[in-house]
Amino acid sequence: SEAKFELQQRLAPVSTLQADFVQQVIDPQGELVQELQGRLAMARPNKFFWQSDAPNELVLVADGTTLYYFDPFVEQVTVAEQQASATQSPFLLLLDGETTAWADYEVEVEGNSYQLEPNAEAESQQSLQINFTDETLNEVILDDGQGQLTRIVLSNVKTNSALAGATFEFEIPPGAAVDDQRGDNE
Amino acid sequence: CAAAPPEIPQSAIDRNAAERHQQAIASLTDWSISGQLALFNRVEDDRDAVYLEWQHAPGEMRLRFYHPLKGTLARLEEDLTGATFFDEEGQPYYGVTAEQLIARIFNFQLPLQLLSEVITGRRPDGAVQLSYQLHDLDGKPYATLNRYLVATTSEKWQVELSNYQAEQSYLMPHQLELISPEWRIKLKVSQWKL
Repeated sequence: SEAKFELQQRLAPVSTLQADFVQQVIDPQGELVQELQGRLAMARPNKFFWQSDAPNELVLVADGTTLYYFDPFVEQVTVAEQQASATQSPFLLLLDGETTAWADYEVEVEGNSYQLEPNAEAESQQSLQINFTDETLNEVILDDGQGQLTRIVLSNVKTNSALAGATFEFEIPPGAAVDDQRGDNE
Repeated sequence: CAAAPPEIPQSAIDRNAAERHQQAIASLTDWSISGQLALFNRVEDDRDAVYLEWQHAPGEMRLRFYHPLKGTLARLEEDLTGATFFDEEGQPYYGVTAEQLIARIFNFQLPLQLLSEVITGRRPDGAVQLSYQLHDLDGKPYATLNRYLVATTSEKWQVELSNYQAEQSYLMPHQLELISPEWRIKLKVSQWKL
């Protein structure tokens, strides 16, 4: 669709992006049920880093082929094929303008706000809203269709600055169990 | 943050401080929490975790299991008439109790009844080998329960409660562990609503 192409074009000039984020989960009763803050970084088309601050230090790293997700509360690192993990974060879709996952969505646009509705075969049934202020990606909203909304608001957004390679490397913390899901679903 | 108060065995505890806390929380029958539940199978070294919201009232409980980025995963409701589990698509499954439904659907004995009794810090009947922590609230000593053993019909559990903080006028735990020979269940409470 016209709007999908326009959104992909808006993302095209971004080769790297880094930002602080605040992620808020609103429950079906409209109550704020979780708030995380942290930093994220992207190197398009396939590298992503996301870390939330204490006391919930969660880490998600996609190095182009493998996705690592560490949750200290569960004392475990989950390792999965990046291609099979699109639902782990909406930013994984925004990373790559050509990824097949775009085919899962119908896109409509209103000014700086893009509404992505999943079609029937989409793996994730969440609808997404991607908002820009001027030319900068500013906010991603996920709606699960059952009343839960998750708002991820970006600040201090810097695009196309150099990012250290190590940003997208993940080291398995000592003592953490590893749940390697690669090759689970052939 | 300040180190947790030291652990005091039952014998040394000031009985009034222990009773004062138990009486304070005895009236707490309506509460809700949001947080994260982690289930460790100690036999097969398998583990799983889920975020949850849990509303509890006498004879009634409502749970919503969710993931911040994947949305609502399931809902579970129980009242005096029975229990209903709704899967990700909202498909209902019926049962007598929430605990039975979870056991049937996930073949895992999540001791929801015991969890709902111990999460508030209340001393369940039959609890033994108790140890406490001493706190000061409005100038009075309160002894909160932080470790003990208790048995349900199917399992013996070691219960550990920690990270007590004042919530309105109550001292509430924000971390709970239930350990049995086969399972380790961790519950982290990020929000209490009383």
